[in-house]
Amino acid sequence: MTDETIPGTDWVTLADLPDARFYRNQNGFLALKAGGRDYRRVTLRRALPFTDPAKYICVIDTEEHEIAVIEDLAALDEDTRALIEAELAVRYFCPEISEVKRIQEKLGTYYLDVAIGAFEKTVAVKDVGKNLKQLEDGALLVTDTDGNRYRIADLGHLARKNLRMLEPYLY
Amino acid sequence: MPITVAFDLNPAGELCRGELQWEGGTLAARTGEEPFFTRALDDIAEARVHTDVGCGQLELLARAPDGGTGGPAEAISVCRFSLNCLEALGEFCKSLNHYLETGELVPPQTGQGTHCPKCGRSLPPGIRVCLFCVDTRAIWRRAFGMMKTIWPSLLLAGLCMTLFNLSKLAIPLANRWLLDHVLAPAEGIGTLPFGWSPAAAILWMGGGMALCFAVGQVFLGLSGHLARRGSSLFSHTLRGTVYDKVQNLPVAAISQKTSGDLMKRVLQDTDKVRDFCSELGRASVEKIILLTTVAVVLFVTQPLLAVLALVPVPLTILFFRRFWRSIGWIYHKMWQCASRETSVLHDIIKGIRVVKTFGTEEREIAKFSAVSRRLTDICIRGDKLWALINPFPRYAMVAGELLVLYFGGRMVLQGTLSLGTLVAFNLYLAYLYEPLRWMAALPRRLAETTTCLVKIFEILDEPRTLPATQDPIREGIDGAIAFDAVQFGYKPYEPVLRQVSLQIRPREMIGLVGHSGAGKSTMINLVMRLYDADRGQLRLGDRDIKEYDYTYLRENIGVVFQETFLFAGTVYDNIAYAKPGASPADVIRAAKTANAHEFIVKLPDGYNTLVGEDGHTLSGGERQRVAIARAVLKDPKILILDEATSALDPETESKIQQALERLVKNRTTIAIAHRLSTLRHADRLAVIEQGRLAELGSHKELLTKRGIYYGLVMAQNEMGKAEKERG
Repeated sequence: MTDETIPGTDWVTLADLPDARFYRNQNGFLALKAGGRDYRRVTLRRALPFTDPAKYICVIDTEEHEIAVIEDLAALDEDTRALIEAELAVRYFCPEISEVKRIQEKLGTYYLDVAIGAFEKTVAVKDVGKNLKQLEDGALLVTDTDGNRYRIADLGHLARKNLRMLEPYLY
Repeated sequence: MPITVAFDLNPAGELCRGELQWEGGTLAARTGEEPFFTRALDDIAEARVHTDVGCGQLELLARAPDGGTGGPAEAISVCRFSLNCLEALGEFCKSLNHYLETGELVPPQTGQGTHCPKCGRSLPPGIRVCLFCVDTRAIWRRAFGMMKTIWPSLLLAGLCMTLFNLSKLAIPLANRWLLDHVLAPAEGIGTLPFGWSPAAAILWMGGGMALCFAVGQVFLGLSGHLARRGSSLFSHTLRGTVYDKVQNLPVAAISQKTSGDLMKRVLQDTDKVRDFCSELGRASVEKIILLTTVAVVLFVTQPLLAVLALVPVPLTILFFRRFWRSIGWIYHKMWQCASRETSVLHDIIKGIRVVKTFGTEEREIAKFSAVSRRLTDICIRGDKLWALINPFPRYAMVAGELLVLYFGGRMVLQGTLSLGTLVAFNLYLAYLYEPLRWMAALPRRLAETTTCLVKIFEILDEPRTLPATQDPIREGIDGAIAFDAVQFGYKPYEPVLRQVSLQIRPREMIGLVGHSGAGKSTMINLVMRLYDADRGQLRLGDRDIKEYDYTYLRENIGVVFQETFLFAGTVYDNIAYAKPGASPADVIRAAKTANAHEFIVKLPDGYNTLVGEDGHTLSGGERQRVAIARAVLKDPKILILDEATSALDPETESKIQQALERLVKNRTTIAIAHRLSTLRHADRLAVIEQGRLAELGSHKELLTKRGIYYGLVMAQNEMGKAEKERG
């Protein structure tokens, strides 16, 4: 491996766009003015949602064209960053499970009674081998039957008997 | 009445309990007392569901102001929700749109989704009955009702089993008498009856025991036979009922379940229920009788010893349970590791060429050995645990006997208990433990069987095919097809066809053109009545498609798909599948029309060649021609060609094209093809764009129009040219 960059297609960074400015339109959607154009609504997509959620964020217009890539959130000014972070938090639903109270199994589907902050709900997970994934940072990603995702940052939060029930599926 | 639906995210994307309310012409969303969103629907054109990652939002699009040239309307956000609410909100959205379009209020459909309407829990895959809410007692009542025919044989089997057990109980009694009266007679017992000598008494008693034993065995065999016969008959009936039902399910219900799942229900679930009938049903009668009899006998003989004998029983059961949980956990983990090892291995071997080209063998070996190592570790751990705790439950079982031996022995020495009674007591004890252990496992097996019953009943309760009208008619399909403002979507939140209106004349050939996913295949699915339109009407001849008899409808529609499935059987059988009882001459004529005859007779076994899973493999083009022959033989009024000529070499394609031209003659034909040149014979072309009919006309008309069709033709020509240049 060398340090040379591999030849390939480069992307447009935010800095490449003259006077790019994010704002909220009158209906509350994220919008972008850049290069003399007004994008009345833009979508943000993380390229690496698990391994690098704060880097390489693609800004997409309503026609599905990529306007630019935000390479690093940290490099943005404070107001823009707050705007982008708020939008990402809304667009990516993946709350942190703070406590697993009970796990019941029925016909191969696991029902996890969990607390998410002050909110309590039951999360149904089928095919646990696939839908309980340990991420690189050690957190557990739980995907329920409807496709919702939840994180358990610290498995130590689980009661011992609950952990025992899930343990066979964790690699 | 306001229509309400729940949503679960607040505008900041945090979980909440919210309610969306639609009353009169106003939509309001609230998470507390006061709504955070209220909007009159007067100037709203459309509602739609926008999906993000793991969540989404309901949006309204305002109608452009009169003569508006202010560009496209901007969306208004109503409320956000996680995917748990997606289905319900999709249905809500559908109703709302219908209202906005027509002013008619149709409440959204509920309760056919993936969540239990009662407790809100997500349902297990493939079933619509919530296992938390299901009434177990009702399930069993129903099962018992279904078993009505086999009750007599099951009861008789239970009776035989009881007799067998009673004969078993007689043996320790005989033993005790022998000990007390013959082998070690206590003082003052007196003489033997019938003037027997001790040797004769042993002989008589031994003979009696042998007889008892023999009679018992006869009853045992009889009971097993009766139970198996009854339950096999029952499971055969059950299996037949379930299979019959599966065949008659609407496609919409079948496509929700995998074929594996359906097979499991027809075979495994019915088997489990049968096992329960033959084994558990009979055994439970037997064990309960045995347990009570033995317990009574023990307490009557010597209450103190009986209590001592029973002390270890609950301990043993508890221990067993605990023990099984630990060992079960280890086994589970072993199974997981083993399946992971297999999948890693499978991956490597399947991708071996990639591994070789990138030279990453070492890395793959390391990956595999790591997984393998894990499996080894867990196996060793499991074995160790097993060896460590396995002896304990056994020991606990013996403990009761030891207690009885110690205290009983002392009683014998003190002369308060006869030796025979002690021995008989010990024999009875052995009878006691068996049913107890069995009963400890009963709840688990009962739960398993209940689940199977739930799954079976669910299939049985599924509505049969799509609803037909009261008196289905069997005439009137003349080839005319009319789509009248048809609206349809597989999922409520994704309409696939929007307001499609199209009249097809009898014997006309219509080509459906458009991008993939535009809704072409959906249109033919509706013509075949695999699904019913959500709104609007589809007419064949002068009648609504729903008025026709199902069989009659299918008799008059022939289909040639891109992929042709051949059943295991001969080529002949596969062609004649369209018309059972067709004469060989008909079949050969059909094959000739389909240009299939040549290649079929070239096969050594001709029309008798076995095809399908274990048989001769036919090429794609050959299978296609078999399918065309099928359609020719069926001679339908309406013919559907779904990509019938794609992915074939030019020579084969021209043969198939020729066969198709013969086939479409004098029939209404709807053809879908991505390669537009294959549609050159179509009378008219219908261009479908995002679920709407965008253009309609002949090839020439559409070309002069320079619209979507023109663009598609030009794009394909360019590609063709480029390919030629490269070639």
